[in-house]
Amino acid sequence: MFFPESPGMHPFLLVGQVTIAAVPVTSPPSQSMPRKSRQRPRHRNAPRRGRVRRLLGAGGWTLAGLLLAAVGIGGLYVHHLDREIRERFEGQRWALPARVYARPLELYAGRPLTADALEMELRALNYRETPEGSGPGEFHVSGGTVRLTTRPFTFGDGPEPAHSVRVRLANGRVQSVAEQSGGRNVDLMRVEPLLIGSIYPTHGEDRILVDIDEVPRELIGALLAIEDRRFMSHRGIDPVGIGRAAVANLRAGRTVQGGSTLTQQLVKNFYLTREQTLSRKLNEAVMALLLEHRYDKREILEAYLNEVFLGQTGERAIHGFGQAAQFYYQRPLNELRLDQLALLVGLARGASYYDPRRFPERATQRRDRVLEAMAETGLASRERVDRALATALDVSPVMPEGRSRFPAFLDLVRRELRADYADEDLRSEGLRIFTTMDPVVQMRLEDRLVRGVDELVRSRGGGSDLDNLQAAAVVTDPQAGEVLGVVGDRNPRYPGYNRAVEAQRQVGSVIKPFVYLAALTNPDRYTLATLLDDSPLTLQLPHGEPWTPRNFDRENRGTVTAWEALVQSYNVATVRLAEEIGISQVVNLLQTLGLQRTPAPLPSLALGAIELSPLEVAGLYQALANGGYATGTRVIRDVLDQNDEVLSHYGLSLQGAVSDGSVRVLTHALHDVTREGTGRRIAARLNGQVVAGKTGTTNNFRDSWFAGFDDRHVAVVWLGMDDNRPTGLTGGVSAAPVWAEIMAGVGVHSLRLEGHPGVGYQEVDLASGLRVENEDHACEAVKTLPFWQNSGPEGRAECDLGSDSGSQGWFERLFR
Amino acid sequence: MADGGWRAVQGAGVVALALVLAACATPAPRDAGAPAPDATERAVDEDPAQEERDAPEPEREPTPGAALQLAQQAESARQAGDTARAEQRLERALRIAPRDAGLWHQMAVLRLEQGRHEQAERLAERSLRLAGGTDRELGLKNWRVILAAREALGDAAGAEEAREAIRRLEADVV
Repeated sequence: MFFPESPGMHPFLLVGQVTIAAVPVTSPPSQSMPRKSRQRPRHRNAPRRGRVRRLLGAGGWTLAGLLLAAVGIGGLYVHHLDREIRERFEGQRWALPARVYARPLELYAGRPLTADALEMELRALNYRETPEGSGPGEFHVSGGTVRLTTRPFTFGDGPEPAHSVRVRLANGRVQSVAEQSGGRNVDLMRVEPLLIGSIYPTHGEDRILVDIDEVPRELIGALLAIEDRRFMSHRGIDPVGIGRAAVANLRAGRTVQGGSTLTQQLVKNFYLTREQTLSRKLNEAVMALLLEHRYDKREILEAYLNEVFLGQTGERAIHGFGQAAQFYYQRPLNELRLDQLALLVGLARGASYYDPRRFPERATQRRDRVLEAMAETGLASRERVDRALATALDVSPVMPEGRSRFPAFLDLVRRELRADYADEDLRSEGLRIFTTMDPVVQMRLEDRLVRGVDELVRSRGGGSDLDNLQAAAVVTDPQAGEVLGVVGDRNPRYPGYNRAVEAQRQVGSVIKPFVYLAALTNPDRYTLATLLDDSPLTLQLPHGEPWTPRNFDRENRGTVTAWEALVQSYNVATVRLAEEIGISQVVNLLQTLGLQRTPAPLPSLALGAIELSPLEVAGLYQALANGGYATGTRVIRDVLDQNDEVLSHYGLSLQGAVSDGSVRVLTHALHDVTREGTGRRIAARLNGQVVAGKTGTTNNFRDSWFAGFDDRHVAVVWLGMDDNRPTGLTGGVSAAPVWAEIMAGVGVHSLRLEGHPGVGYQEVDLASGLRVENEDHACEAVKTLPFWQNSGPEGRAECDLGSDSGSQGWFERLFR
Repeated sequence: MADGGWRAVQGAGVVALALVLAACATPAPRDAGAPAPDATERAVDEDPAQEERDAPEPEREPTPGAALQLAQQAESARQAGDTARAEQRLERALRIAPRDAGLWHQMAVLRLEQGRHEQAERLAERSLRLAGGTDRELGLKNWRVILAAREALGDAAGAEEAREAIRRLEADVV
């Protein structure tokens, strides 16, 4: 009664009794199977009604009535299961996690890149080092030449084919990219991007869907050989198989074989709980029959390949062979060797019992049984099987965590996504999210931040009061406004409080450049040579209290140039400057440059009495680094759906702007901060490479900051305690060296300060702010300062005039 | 806009730069030992006399061919009406060569076509800044984008300013 129809030959598969070569070697229809097959519904209960009628003739009415009721219920029951199956099979079958990718590495001649960085990226992608580097996911480094072979990948702007290339690197740049065979030049290519995290369905199932045509035939063959040899001929359940299993189990005195068909196993995985009851077995059998009735073998097999449970880590459940290949070998399924395929097939019987990481011996035995079955059924030659048997288990030792390696970056991505996507869609729609993360920058940032902070704590005598010192850092690309790396905790793997984004901390002097920039945008009134009054000051605040800003060292210096006040971070002079230009001007400027809120226009704002996150500070500094443009801090480039359609593109956009001449002048001073100002430790660490930035230290040493940039990066470092306790650290001695460490790790691209057509240079006497023209002047401190729009001081310094008898001065005056 | 005209634009930029800046004040080097960008890769075929007139080095590195190739693909996509792809390709190009004034101009043109007038105006201004007033042809094209954007935004005074800038550049016989 289980075989109401004669089993017809299946069109897609060669059906043989045991022949496992029945796998889709010859599959006539060229187009792939539609996912949602619409087969004609048939009435399954019709034959049952016939039987009922026969019974009616033989039995009494009471019995008949009871039976009728039972059959009615049975019919309803079958109908119910049938509907469940169709819903499962014809809707979206699986909730697929969203995948979050780093930016792809673009390779082209002229790209700044070292062999080290390239190797780091390839290793992060789990590329294997081989002598040739000619197979997919393989590379080889020798000197300045890296050979590598990528895998095809589809991006938002189209597919990128696989490339097998030789990359020559020298002087910190890619010199050439050429095909390995033939040596033809490759103008531009992308390596597939690093998967940096997934957003899992709430039930924790993780899977990578595979099409049955992409699955190695050895895998399918081995699966049928070991799990269900009669799969091609049975109709959902296999009495012969059950009988054989029963005999084997009786003989062994315990369960050594299961009689379940793949179809039954699929049903078990798909719909039912793991409890072992008779009613469950009945459900399973009926549903298996229904499934086979409605869908063809190919579809059932494909569903099985994607559904079967193959591993677990924490809350993350590994389903399907596509994900299992990544989970155990960190490679796509189609790159696995015979022994590796056999291991995965073996896991289908019991992924935790045969877990190769915990029970390598059991796993090996199981694998070898699968391999033997492959030899028996002629699926693989004896020699191949022998070779595979001799291969050691080489499951990747690192179990890829369900949690991301880059929790802070992923957290930032999720925050951005939340604006446009429902959580449920992220967890189930299989979206692909392309981010701006540069994995090499991210990893080096993590490494150097940890190293720098540990070193700092050690150099402070490792006092227990610094044990809880926390840190956060951000690195961005200021031209595109893209975030390259984020660390939100001294332990970069810790997926907790993301200080880079969430922490709102007073910024202190990190804000000062914007006070000076607000002044410098008006070159007729303010230049770096403008004298500021640094003598003691008390202000009446709007609500009546007096406020007396003090310098860090409690000294006052009378009049100083704006340059010195900024480079040495004098507070009193800065407050006076802000008062003069109007603190609301500073607020306006901050908002033009991307600040998303309106701080109260109090004079203390000039000293950084505003709480910002490191990411927000990075956003503001981007404008200083890119010539005056607010570009935002983007972390997502594209969101693609399962069919590679672009759902969202987060494009380049310019928000506000300030004049680039004033920014350039300011940048000169910020460069001096790193050489002779509060951040001077940086110049020593970076061997004179040209960078710019500003320290920040808040009251009682609660927060230490350094925010700065080179030609290609903005980096912001914050150090402090979560509970706001004082650390005793200034930005200059703590955050600045850590920042330098990070920049050295990321690779400094020196700023080019000269060359702005509107900016000229003039030597200035720092005591008077007036010009110095003689080489043998009597001035104590002279500095060459940049001036925008010919705004240099008109008058000459006393100390310069005193010795003004040389011919040079006369000559120069003649031409002025 | 001519496809592949960017190389020409950049080549012309170097010439125009030398000519225009010859008349400008030239900044003195600030500190001894400041890194001097090597000039070997650009402008070798120029009149050697121009070198002596001490034109400041252009601020950017030579644009890698990869960026120019992407820019061409973007232009083809734009002409085919696929502005989304054009945008993505241009963004890739700009990540490679963020200081190429021609690329920023191309982005401005795309934004204008997308009807994002404010962005078009800002991008064209950024292109102008990067070119540093040294490239008359590119300057004209940028001002025309700015004019169109401002007209669309109903900024009459701004549009007049743009017209004035265009008149000046057109009158300026190079």
